[in-house]
Amino acid sequence: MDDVAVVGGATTRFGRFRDHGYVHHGAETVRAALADAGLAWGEVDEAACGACGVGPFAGNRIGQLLGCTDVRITNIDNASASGSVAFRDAYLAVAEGRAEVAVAFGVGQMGGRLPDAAGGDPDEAASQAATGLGNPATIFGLLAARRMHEFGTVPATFAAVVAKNRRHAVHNEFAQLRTPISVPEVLASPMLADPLHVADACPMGDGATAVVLTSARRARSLGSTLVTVDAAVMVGEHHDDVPFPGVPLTGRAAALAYEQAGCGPDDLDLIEVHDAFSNEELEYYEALGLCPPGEADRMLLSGETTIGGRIPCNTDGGLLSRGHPLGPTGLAQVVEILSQLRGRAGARQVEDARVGLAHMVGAGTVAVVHILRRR
Amino acid sequence: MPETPESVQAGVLLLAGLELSGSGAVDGDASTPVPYPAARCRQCGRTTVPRNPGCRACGSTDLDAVGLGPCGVLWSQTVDRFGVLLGRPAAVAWVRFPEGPIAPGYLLTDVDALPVIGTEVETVSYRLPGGPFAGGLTAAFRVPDPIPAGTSHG
Repeated sequence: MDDVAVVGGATTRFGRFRDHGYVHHGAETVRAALADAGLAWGEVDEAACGACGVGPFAGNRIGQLLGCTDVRITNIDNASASGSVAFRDAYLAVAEGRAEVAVAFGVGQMGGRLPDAAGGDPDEAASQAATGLGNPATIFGLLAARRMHEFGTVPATFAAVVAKNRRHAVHNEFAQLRTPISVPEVLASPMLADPLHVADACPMGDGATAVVLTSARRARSLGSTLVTVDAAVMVGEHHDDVPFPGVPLTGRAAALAYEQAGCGPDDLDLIEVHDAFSNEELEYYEALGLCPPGEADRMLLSGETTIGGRIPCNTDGGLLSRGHPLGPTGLAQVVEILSQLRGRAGARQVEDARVGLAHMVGAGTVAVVHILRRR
Repeated sequence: MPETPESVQAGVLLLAGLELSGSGAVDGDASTPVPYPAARCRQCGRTTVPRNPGCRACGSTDLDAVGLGPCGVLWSQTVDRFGVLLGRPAAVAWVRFPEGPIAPGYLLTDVDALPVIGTEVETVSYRLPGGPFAGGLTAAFRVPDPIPAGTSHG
């Protein structure tokens, strides 16, 4: 089996848009990613669209704007991980020989509000009302409070994640939030779900992202920097007797990804992790094997995960600053890693970046880890 | 949030199994401890929450209805400050029961004076005071009343 390569990527800025809806944004972004690759929509065999909360068959609506050229489009909804799962689907299409060229794209249009957490199911809505867990912030507030109890983490450390990722986003023209924010400013924002403040949560927004994949052989003929997909792993929910499975799922996905890629955490030059809430970033440092349990606070505060540190994390600002429109988020991580591995990240460039890891969790029920390498 | 189904009226149970786990009437007055509803699987032996038609661990439908606690230990706590579900700020907890599972529920306390993690709490029935499911019955947690001085445990 030939290696699979990422040959193009593009994203909109994430935010609130009134000029276009997600269909136009999606089509524009796919065209831009194909142009980056030096390919055209007519050369695409398969596509996967990650979307959550925008209505049915979003990918096909976008495909109709790109041209009805026999492209097989799969629609994927895995909550926050929708785009990451779409990437894996496109990767498998090329790896298994179903496609010579595949596109993964993601769209989101939140309109400033969260999708219905119960998915429109009245029984699920009743269950959430019965337990108090219908709001994601509540779940991550509980997780943050537990971390404070177990490891002595303080709210200022959660806030330091926000401040660090915002410093990175200042240099990213596609980020939703680019104004620097300090730890005291995070702590002064209204309480959301104790101990998390409003500024400890990612913004809601709209946007679109697309990535183009093909065989390494075809990629070489296109002439750009060769970036291969060394791992594309998704794991499903396993009963762990823990109230939020996203952390152990991440550990399993990472172990499989390291095995598939033939590398380990020490080989990574940068990472993009799921930081919808600030405390998540700390949990995932540990679950990804970057440090032992309880050591993430020290890792963050010592600057190891800041650009210029040992393993920069969320160099584009992460979900906390770049934004998190659900469908495109995981693909925006891939676009950032592609940009870094190509040496095109400008003021936020990680020196001599060769290996990058992208990680997302979908509603605590799936975890996805991808590893990309510059050849 | 979808529209409230017509079947949800005051007194309707929102948490499956609550009516089976108490020894007395489930009235939502939060005064009488009740077991927290769970399921024990006859295939894999795991005890899980919530009590679903299928085992959360292995998927088997060969389940026994069981009740946890009613006392457990506060594993974590927070406050939904924006009152997403009840229309007012609400304390929410994860509680670990002696049988193993960690279960979610409202924590009946002053939202600005939460009990510390590790505190023993008990499960009670609770009538939701607001939100789309107002009046529905569920399980919640509270710190037991202290035993008055001079009172014997019996």
